[in-house]
Amino acid sequence: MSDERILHHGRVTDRHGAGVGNALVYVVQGTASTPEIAVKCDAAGHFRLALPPGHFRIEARSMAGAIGATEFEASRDDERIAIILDE
Amino acid sequence: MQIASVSKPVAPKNTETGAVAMASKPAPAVTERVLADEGDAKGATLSDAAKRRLVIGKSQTPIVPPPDSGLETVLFADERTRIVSTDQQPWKLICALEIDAPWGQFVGTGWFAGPRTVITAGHCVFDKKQMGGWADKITLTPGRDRERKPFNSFTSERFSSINAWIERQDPDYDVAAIHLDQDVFPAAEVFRVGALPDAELRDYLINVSGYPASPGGGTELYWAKNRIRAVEPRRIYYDVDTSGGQSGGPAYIYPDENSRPIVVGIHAYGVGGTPVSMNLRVNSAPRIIPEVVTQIQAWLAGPGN
Repeated sequence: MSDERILHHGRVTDRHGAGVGNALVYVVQGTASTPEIAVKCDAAGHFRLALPPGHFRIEARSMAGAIGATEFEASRDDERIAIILDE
Repeated sequence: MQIASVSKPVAPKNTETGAVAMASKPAPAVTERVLADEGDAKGATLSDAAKRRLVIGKSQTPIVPPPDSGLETVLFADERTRIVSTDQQPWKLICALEIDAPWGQFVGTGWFAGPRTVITAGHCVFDKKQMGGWADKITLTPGRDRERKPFNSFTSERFSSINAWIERQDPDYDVAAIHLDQDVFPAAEVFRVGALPDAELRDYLINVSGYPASPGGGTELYWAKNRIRAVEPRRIYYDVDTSGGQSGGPAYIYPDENSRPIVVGIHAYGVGGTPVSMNLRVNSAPRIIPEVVTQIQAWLAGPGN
C-alpha cells in the first residue's frame, strides 16, 4: 500500500485578501481517502494540506465562525489552495 | 498479521528507545474479545439525559435520515448534536486534541482507555506527509466545552502507534496512544475496547463523538448515532455524521444501559475512504480487532500505567 498524498500549500483570506490567522481547514468531500483531521493555519492564514490525486471540496472556518470553501483538483504537483471566507 | 508497537523516540531524539514488540500470543480465530472490565460499572453510570440520547443495544431497523445537507462526510442533513454536559459519562472521557507538529498545528479527538492512556488515530500522532513525522506535543482536554475545561488540560510528548501505520500508513491500522504522566479517571470509568465478530457487530446501534473543526472550532463536543452499516475484517462502516477534527474519536456501542461503553472502531475517514465497490455513502473507522485489543492492553500496562 502506498501513500500517494502530495503536500499542497494554501492560504485562507477574507474577502479583502487579508490572511485569516488560526483558521481551521478540513476536507468535507473527496474522491479519495483523506483522514478527518483539521489543519490550523498560521498567523497569516497559510496552511499545508496533504492530498492524494483527486477532486476535493475543502472548507475553512475562522475562530469567529466564518466559513469558506473551494473545489480543488489535486494532481501530483504542489498546487496552491485558496479559500476565501464569507463575511 | 503480526503487529508491533512503535513509540516516538524520546530524548535524545535520534535514539530508538521505545519500540516494544507486541506479545506473540496468536490472535483468536474468532474475533471476539473485550478488554477485561475492571471493577463494577457504577463509576460509569449514565445520567437519565445521557440514557435518552445515546443509542443502546441492537436494532433491525435503520434510523431514517432527513434530507441531504450537501456535505459528504455529513450524510444527508447534519444530525450531530452538541453535548454541553461534558462532565458526565461518557462525554467526559472524550478529549479535544491540539496537536503541535514539525509542519504546523492540527485538531483531532481522543478518548480514555486507561487512567492515563488516551487512544486516538495514528495520523493524530504521526504523519510523515502531513505533519512532518511525529507530533512534538499534544495538549488534550477531556470533556472540553468551549473555554470550560472541567478536568483541566494535559500535555504529552509521549506517543505510540503500530508499525503498520508508522511504516506504510496502512489505514486499517491507523491507531495510536497518547501516554500521560498522571491518572485522570479511574480504570472502572474509562471506555472498554472490544473486538466483536461480524454477526455480533452488524445490527448494533453505534455512537460516534468528537471535536470537529466545524461546528465548534475543535472546542465543542458533538455526538451522532445510527446503525453499523457494514463490517470488513479491518474496517467498520456507519452512516453517522462526522467531519474534520473528529479523527481519533470513539465509535462505540452499549450492550445495555447499565454496561460501560465498548469502543469497536476509531473514527478516521469520511466517505472518500469507503471503497466505491461497496456502493454505500458511509464514513468509516479502523476496526478494533484482537491484535489491536492486545496492543492497547500492552499500552495500558506500559511504563506509567
